[in-house]
Amino acid sequence: MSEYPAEAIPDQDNLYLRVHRNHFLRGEILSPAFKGHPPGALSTNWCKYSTPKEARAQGRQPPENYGVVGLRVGAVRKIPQQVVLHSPLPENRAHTDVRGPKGTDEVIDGFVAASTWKVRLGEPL
Amino acid sequence: MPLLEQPTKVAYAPPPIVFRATGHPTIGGLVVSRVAYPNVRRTSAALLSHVARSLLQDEIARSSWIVELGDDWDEAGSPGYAPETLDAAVTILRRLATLQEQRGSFLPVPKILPGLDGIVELRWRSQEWRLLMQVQPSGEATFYGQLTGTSVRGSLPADEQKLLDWIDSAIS
Repeated sequence: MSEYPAEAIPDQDNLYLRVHRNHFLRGEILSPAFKGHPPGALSTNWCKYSTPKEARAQGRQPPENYGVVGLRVGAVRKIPQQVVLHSPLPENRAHTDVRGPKGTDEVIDGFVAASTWKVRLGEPL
Repeated sequence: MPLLEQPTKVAYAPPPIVFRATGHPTIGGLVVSRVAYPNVRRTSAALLSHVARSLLQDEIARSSWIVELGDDWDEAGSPGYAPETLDAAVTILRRLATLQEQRGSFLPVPKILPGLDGIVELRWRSQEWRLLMQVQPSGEATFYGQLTGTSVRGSLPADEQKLLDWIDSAIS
């Protein structure tokens, strides 16, 4: 149970998503980057409580293995069946889930189109 | 008179075909340059067809490594890709290219990419439009595209004509 309350996230805010180097190829973010763990629950950081570099540093692997993309909340909410849910953790107040099925063409296209690089792969720490 | 003098020795070997923004004919928004075709005497529909097929073939050849990805290739638990899935994607792509050419234009070359859960993905992206197609291990394919203000979705082969009509409007 988190000590932080869940808050409403405005449409104009950004969510930061770590993208592992294995999910970036030929200038494209691959679909598995948006799958989530467990499937359907995509973990991101809300910009109110996190910077892109902080999000990059929270992966299981060294930060140099990740880039970070920003996802505008309003754009994410327009992707079919996707729900943005602030779900703070004791160690990460920014933690936000994007819940919903991730496998359809329209959903994948929506996430790809909504992504903008905030920290590129290989960028200095 | 032949259109090309020994073109294949140039067209199918590195360095890749070079394009530049001039007044030359285009394929899917790209401009054919004589840099890669120094022996071209004149451009024509036959040459454009030749280049379009060459570009498509390059992409297909480039995608062959996808089937070498084993289970957990991304260290996130994703499964590998069956050769049959890639074959199905290539078959669909070749068919669409042929049908598009019969309509008098050329199918822009997509990127062939590893997708979710063993699916092979085809992605087209330009400034004005984008199209994503997923080919399942079963060989079934679905697609979704967006062009300013309009979208298209469906599955193949049922919605093939709808897809081709939409591509026509996107690239025209």
